[in-house]
Amino acid sequence: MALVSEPIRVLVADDNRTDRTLLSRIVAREGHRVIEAIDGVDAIEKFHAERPQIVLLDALMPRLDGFEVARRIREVPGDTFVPIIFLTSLTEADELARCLLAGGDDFMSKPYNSVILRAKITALERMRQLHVTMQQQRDEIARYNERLLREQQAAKDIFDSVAHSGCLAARNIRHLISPLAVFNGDVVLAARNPAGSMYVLLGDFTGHGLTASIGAMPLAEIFYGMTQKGFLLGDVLRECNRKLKDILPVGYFCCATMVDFNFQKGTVEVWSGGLPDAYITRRDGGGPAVPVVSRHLPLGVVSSSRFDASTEVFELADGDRLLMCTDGLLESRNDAGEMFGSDRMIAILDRGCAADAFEALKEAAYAHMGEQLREDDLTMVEVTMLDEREIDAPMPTYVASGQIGPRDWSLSFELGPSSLQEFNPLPLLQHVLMEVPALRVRGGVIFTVLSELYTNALDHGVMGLSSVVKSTANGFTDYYRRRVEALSALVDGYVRFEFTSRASDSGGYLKIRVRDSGPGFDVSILQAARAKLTGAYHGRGLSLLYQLCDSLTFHGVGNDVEAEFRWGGDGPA
Amino acid sequence: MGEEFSALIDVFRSDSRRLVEAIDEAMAQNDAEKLRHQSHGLKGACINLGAADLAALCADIEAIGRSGDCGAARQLLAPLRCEFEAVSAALDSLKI
Amino acid sequence: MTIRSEVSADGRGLTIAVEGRFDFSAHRDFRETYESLDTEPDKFTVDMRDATYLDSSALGMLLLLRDHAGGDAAEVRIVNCNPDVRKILTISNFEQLFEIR
Repeated sequence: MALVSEPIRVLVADDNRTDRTLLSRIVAREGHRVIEAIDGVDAIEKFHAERPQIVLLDALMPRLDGFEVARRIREVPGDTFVPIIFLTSLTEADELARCLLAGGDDFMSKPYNSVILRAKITALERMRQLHVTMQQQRDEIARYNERLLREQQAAKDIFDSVAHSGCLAARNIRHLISPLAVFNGDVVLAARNPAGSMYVLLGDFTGHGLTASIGAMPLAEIFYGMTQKGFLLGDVLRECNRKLKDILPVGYFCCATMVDFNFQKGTVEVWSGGLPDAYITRRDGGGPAVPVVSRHLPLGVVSSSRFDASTEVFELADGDRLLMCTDGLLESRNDAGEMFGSDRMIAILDRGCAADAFEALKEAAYAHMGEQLREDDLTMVEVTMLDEREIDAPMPTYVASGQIGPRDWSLSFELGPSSLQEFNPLPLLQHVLMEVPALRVRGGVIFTVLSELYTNALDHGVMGLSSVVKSTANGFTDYYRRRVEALSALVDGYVRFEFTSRASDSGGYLKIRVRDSGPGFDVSILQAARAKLTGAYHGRGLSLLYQLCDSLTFHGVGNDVEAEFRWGGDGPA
Repeated sequence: MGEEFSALIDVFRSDSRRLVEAIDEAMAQNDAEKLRHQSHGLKGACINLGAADLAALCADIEAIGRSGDCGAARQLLAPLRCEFEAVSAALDSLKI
Repeated sequence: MTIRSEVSADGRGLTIAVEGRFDFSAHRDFRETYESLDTEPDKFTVDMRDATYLDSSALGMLLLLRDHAGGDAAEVRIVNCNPDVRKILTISNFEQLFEIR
């Protein structure tokens, strides 16, 4: 028989002296400390004074019977568990049951048997110690949980400041991010690039928690850094994918949709990997919602060499919208466990009023979930196409290393066919130009001019694509498809940039000359068109260039164009 | 058990004598509740010390006490005293 | 959720059958099917016949299996998908990584 290792304090309460003495002797022989009580009231007093660890309690006692004593002991506040053994010469089953119902943990019938009593004390002491251990573990878990919640809250604060940021307050963006969830891993980022486009990224990290916040940091950093520097959508995505693939453990990834809203061209370029269909809704019942389907693996799944950054382009008129959501919306359940689903979503979008769709969808989702809001995991973003002049989100600002910058310099930079296929030179060139202090205030304009000149040289010059396609129905979509084909088939050709800049304290100039390997075009037609102010020859791009530059000159056969910016009073003759 | 046992027998003798008197008193006062309680207490001690006949007598008295009729218990008082003395004597003979 | 698995007679193939909701609760069982093997199969099949649903952590588990099976060189088939399961795999474009039937 295993003995209780540590001596404990045992309260023996019995008004019958013979029984009490007998029992006390047995307990004392086991090495425990005995506290005797002569009746129920005495038992309660001794219980409070001596804090016994086990109570042996006679059922029938004067003043206060054992049942009442047990009830009062159980009512003592606190977490301490004190086992009670009823002592009884009662033999009827229901009387014995009453002992247990009154709060006893066991009973002991007369005549007392020291072997059985010892076994019972041992068993109950084991139970008591188990209870103590459980209590300690419970307290530890509670403390741990509290710490975890505190840390999660801190992580969420950091996450929110990183993950839901940028120009989300812009007039043309509406977004919903569930306020209840400590962490749902959803990320919404928005920023304008130097050309005035707006990049928006909706991401949904797997592993709602720390992995999400760990992934969100570099994602946001890359997004903002590269968008501001003028990198293309594909460049930003490739870098995001590379970084997430590097840092996230296998099996963790980020489903994402990233879009480039080009307000000048009225297009949206979309890359989507792993998120549910986004929808384009037309202003004033301009037809049914158009699904924009996920074509790619989520970010962070495959290595750079396998990553596919190809995009789709859609044309949007002013007032048309793109609505994106994470699977939380579609998978939100009602009381019956039924998911919201894409059918409900499409039905709302097809009601025809694009302007109200976002609110209608939000209300429908909340109504669907009813009291199930604890599952709240709704993230939606809607971006509206507007006239660029109405966009209130700020353009990137430039901070350069020096106050004076380069004052007399030139740069020649030529890209061959494989560079044209793989490399976007604009962020690099923009970076150089922004070292000139006077150009920084016109950073957006210069980037736009640079990218228009480059696009014209590459698309119409080197690849010989006609911009006429753009003006037909689905023109942009067709155009971009052809462009991707032509680019991948490119085997020769070049685009050369030449920059010349002079500056003094009173003023200066920058000349950007771009020459391509294409056949050029009949410049006289262009000049005639400009004389008639139709401004329509080369599409919106060229008329924009005329507006933005201080001067624009075509040389030779038209494959050689020179744009000039002047400041102060010191320009070239 | 040696000395402890002797001491226990002394406790039994004095305490139980008190209980026998209390039972007598309860009968005289026609106090059924007291009768039941005291005989129950004595019964417990008897069971513990192995005094089976005395315990049986106590149980009978306790049952009568529960029924509320003290009068019926009177005839058991003499056998109770008699048996108690016999038990006491027997226990004494076990003492060293 | 129940995960059952079976190694083919020649020890080269492992079939993992998923029953019910395939979500994070299956994580340990799913990994054990291929991590606790004496043999080293080179063909893996995930049978979704009795799978009712999968979430993003299930997609993560499939990626872990693919990684275990050799990454880009892995031969992992996902078979018998119901329309719901199929849809989730399609949205994530997992057919680029797995043979889905």
